[in-house]
Order: sequence, then C-alpha cells, then structure tokens
Amino acid sequence: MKPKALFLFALLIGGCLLLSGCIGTATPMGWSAPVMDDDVIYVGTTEGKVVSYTLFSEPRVAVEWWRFPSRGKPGLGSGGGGGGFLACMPTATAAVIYSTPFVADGAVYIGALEGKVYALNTSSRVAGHSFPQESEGEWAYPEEDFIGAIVGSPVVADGILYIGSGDSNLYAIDIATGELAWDSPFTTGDDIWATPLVHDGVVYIGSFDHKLYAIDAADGTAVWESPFQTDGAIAATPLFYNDTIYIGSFDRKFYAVDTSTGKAKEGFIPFPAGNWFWGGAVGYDGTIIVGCLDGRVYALDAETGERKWSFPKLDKGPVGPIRGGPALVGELVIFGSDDGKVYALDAASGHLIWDYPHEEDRFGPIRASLHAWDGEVYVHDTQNQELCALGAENGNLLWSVSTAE
Amino acid sequence: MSRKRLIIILVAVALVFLFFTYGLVDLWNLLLLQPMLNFLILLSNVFFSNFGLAIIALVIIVRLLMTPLTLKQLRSTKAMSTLQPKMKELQKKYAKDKDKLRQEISKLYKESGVSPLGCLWPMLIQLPIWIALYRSVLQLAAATPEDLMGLSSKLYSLSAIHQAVPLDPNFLWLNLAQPDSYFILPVLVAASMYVLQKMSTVPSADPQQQSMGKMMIWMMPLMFGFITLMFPSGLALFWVFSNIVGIVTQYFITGWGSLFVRAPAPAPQVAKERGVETPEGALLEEKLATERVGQQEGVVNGKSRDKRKDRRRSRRAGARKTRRKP
Repeated sequence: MKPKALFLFALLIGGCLLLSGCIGTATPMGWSAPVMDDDVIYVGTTEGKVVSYTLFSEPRVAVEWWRFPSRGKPGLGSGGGGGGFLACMPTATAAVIYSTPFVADGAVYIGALEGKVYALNTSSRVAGHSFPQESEGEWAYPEEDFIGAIVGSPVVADGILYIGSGDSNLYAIDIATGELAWDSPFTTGDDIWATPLVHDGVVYIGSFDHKLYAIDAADGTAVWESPFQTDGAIAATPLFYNDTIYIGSFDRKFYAVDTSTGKAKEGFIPFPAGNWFWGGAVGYDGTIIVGCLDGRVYALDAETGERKWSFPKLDKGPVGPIRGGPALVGELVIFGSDDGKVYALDAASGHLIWDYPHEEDRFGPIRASLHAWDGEVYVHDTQNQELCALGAENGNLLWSVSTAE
Repeated sequence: MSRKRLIIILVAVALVFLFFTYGLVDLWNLLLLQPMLNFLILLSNVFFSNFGLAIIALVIIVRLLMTPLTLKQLRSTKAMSTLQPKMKELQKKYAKDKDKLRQEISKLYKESGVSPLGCLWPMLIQLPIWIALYRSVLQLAAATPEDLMGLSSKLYSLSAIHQAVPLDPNFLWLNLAQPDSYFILPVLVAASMYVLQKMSTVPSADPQQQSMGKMMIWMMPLMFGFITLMFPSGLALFWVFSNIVGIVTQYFITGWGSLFVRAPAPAPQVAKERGVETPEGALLEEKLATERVGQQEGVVNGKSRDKRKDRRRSRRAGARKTRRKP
C-alpha cells in the first residue's frame, strides 16, 4: 500500500478514536438532592456550587438567596466539568457536586467531588464575605490538599460530621473546629461512595469492598466482630427500621442486618432484583420500599423479605433505572426515574396515583433523591439545571427555578 | 456463487436486519461494547481482579485470533517487494498512458495473488476493537459515577460479573481511566510503533517512495504517541503490548527486516533526472560549477576557452540524449 494512503488512513483512525471518545461520553453532572430548612432550600449544582433559595408564600416562588462560590467564580473543583485535550476525557476532579447538603443551626455542610468538605455559614455567604470566615464556623477539610473523590453526602450528629471518600476512608470531623474528631479515619477495603447512617451512637456505612460496617460514632472503632458481607459493592444509604438495618448491594440483592450482631436478620431472605440497588429505602407500616436500577420499585415485607408489590408490575415493562431515594408523604411514596418522570404510588398497594410530566423531554434523568416538605416534593433535574416543586397530592408543578448561573 | 461470497452476503443481511431492529447505537452495544465489557470483567476475575493484566491478556487473545490475517498481511508485504522491479518496468513502458498502466498493474496484482490493501485488514479489524476498548476502559474504571451507573445496564446476568465491578483502575503507576501523567506510555507507544514499522517496511529504490516512506515511519509513531497523551492509559497499554506482540511475530517470520538496514541511495544520474538532490549529484554539480567559473576567466587547466566550449557543447548534447522526461 502506498505510504501516502497509509498515512491518510492512520489519520482517519486517529480521528475516529478521538471522535468516539467525544461522542456519548458520560459528562459528570452530579445528583445533589435539594433539602429544605426553615423555608430555605439548599442544593448542589452541576457547576460545582452550593445555592440557596428562599421560598415565598404569595406568590409561591423560589428566589436565589446566595451562591457559593459566588457568580463569576469557578465551581468547587478543577477543570470545570471535564478534562483532556478536547474536553472529551471525563475526570474525577470536575467541578460538580454529587453530595446532598446537610443543614443544621445556620450552617450548611457539603462534600465536593474534588475531595473537600465545606462548612458554610449562611450569614457570611449572604454578606458575600471571603471564605472561610473561621470566626463564623466556616472551614474546609482538608485545609490544603484533597482527600479522595466525594460522591456520598455528609451526616451531622452530636457535633460531628461523618462522610465517606473515594480514598476508602470514613472521616469524622468536629464541626466546631473543622479538624478530625477521631485519631484517624476509619479505613475500609475500597472506595466509599455511600452516605452514612448515624443511629444511636453508631455509624453504618457501606463500601465498594462489598461490606457494611458499624462504627462507634465517638471513637471510630468497629462495633461488630466482623462487617456484614455481601457479594457486591455497596453504594446505597442504609435504612434503620424496626431495630434492623436494610441495605441493597450491586450483587442485585436487598439485605436485612441484625444491628446487634452484624449478621443477616433471621427469617429475612435477601431479595433478588434485576439490577443494582443504589438508592436509599423508606419504611412504611411493616414494609420496606426501595427503588432499583432495573427500573422497578419493590415493596418488601420487613420481616421476611417477601415481595408485597412492585411498580411497574412484573408482567409490564420497567420505567427507567431508579437511583435516588424516594420521598414518603403520608401514604404516598414518590420517586424519580432515569426516564425523566416522577411517580407517586400508594405505599400500601403500589398503585400509581400520579406521574409527572406528561410531555416528553420535560425533565432529564432524575437521579437525585427527592425531598418532601409540607405537601411539596422537590425535584432536582440536573441535566436541565432546574429545581422545581410538585404538589404531593396531585403532581402539579408549583414552581421551578434555574440553578444555572 | 463461491462459498466466500455467500458468507459475506449472509453476514451483510444479518447486520442490516439487526440494524433495523436495534438501531445503530444499540447494535454497536450489542455486538461490540457489551461483549468487550463483560469479557474484560471475566478476564479480570481470572487475573486476580487486575484490570491491567486483563487488558494485556486481551491483547494476546486478539492478536492470536488475528494471526491468519497478520500472516496474510506479512506475505502480502513480502510479495509486494518482489513485484517492485516488474512495477518499475510497467511504469517505464506505460509512462504516457496512465489508464493502461493502471490496468497492467491490476493484472499484475491478480496474477501474483497480491492485494494492495493487504496491509489494511489488521488495522481495519482492530479499529472497532480499539474504540470498544476505549469505551470499556472508561466505564469499567468508573471515571465518573454516571459511567458506573451506565455500566449497570450493559452487564450480562452473571453473578461473577456483577460481583466484580467496579474494577480497580490502578495498575503499576497508572490509573487506567486517565492519561499517563508521567508520559511513559506515549513514549513506549511511539517507540514500539516505530520499531514495528521499520521492521515491516520494504525499502524502495524509488526516491519518491523512499522519502514518503521515511516520513511515514516517523509521522505515524509520533501521531499515535501524541494521541496517547489524551487517551486513558488502559488504551495506551493495549497499544504498547499489541505492538510488542507484533514485533515478536514479525521477528519470527521475517527477522529484524529493515530495522537495521539503511534504504539504498538512488543513482545520482537517476536522481538528477528526477530532480532529486543526492550527495553524488551535489559533487557533480559543484565540479561543473567550478569549471564554469574557470571558463569565464579564459583558461582552465591549461585548456583554451574554445576547446572547452566544444567539450561543454558535446557534454550537454550527450546529456540531452539520455535525459528523460519525469
């Protein structure tokens, strides 16, 4: 073959490879869920910022209150949403937030994908002061440098913030000082992408090493003789219900764990589904309700693991993968799906009460957990950079606001 | 209809049917991406949950499967080199008739059973594998949480597969989902590709082909080395080991080939006729130029101007007779 033709062909190969990398690459968008505290909603955005919105009653609107980092400044993390020569290479240090904010006593705590935990003071942010205002309790951990990528959310209990990281560690940070509360972080065998659960002085956390750990919240020592072993990575948030921990795994099974021993709950048969469990679960009247990446919501008997109902029914096709945790509003369980819809089901029977929207492409994939407050359900559509509220009873759109700058 | 032609038609019909049933993207996922993803996971399981070793094992398997094609390509390259003198004769004979030249060349290829595209097949077949491998490395190493979530819909329903993900992207100094931050792999890709090309290239006496070939031997490794700077190191690892296996295969079939051989220099007269500078031609030019300067001064080496004029005229006349049009 002539060298010239071969050279041109090699150029074609290189071009195809470059293009294939750019087309269809999963852009990191994040899935931070909105949280409400005292008529203010807080959410992490796809641009790597924490934004708060004040809710007004008449008319019912949400107005941006403050944004950190402020407008015009780069988001938390480097690279701004991608990396590489043609921005075709996704990087773990993109400016995007997966973590859901935790709000307590005028402070907002959040983890950024870059590997830092931030404590923000509302008053300082409203005033637009530089960060950190240490006298107002603001800090970043670690101060210099970074820990591993943070995908899970922080939880604060008794003055200590607990958060998992992609460096396999669970960190306990004193919220007053921003320093480690334990002698050293608790180390697992692999990345921690899950959100911890704190209950009664014990921190429960799952890891990619297939294990669920129970750790003493005060000193970071293991509570169980050995962690609970599954056959797949754990990214879901544990649920505490009726003295039992419920957790799903990437081995496509849903487990119940005895909190006192760390062993499988007697009489509960792990429930097998079609795909991974990633989102959290809720408990309702002796039933555990959980979404799955196979596109179904399952209601399981809390004692036996027997399936009470599923939505959609097993003889019907699934909806899109369900990653986020559901919201429980009275007798309704409401969840979002990758097909861009929000579904409200009767928690007892699994019947569909309403879904939203009816027009196609209104929402992008809904991967953030839903949050309910006072008859409203808050939905964060990360693809369209939109935060909106639906009426819990009928699914009507009450208000929406753009989270983009 | 020959059996080969029948198989090709059947495969084409099947592909068209699948395309209309699943669409292009789903077809790509079904036929290439999913098998690649799942196979890599199973290989990782075999190789102590090591993603890097799984990629190296994949190289060996792909190369083994492509051995018949590789051998065909090597034979084709070898045969092409033996055809060079005959091709030159045809070029001389039909220099003024391009159509006839093309016909005769085509006839020559047919008679000798050589395909000019023989060297392309291994590359053509490896191209979709490279693309599928690139996408697989990104998803398996879970560069983003969205990648990991997307992976869940592409896995076969085998427990061994679901239990193995996500894979550990770390291998030696590398994060297989990210470019090599120490730039070692881009250098290795370029160097190994250079060696392989040099071993497999047949030097040509044609100066134009020579210069093009020289450029190719440098340009392609440099280009791939540059591309490697931007790509996940998992793909670069595949390329390096693919080249190494290629070098070893080539060595056992043709030895070191042209790796340590300089390309033959074209004859000075031939080069001058083609307007190509050569060291011998430059010396000749210098000598002629010196003589010309001397002639302007009247006498050179004791010889009169007129006699030198006559000699120049005759020299020029002789050169005109032998000069050919390019």
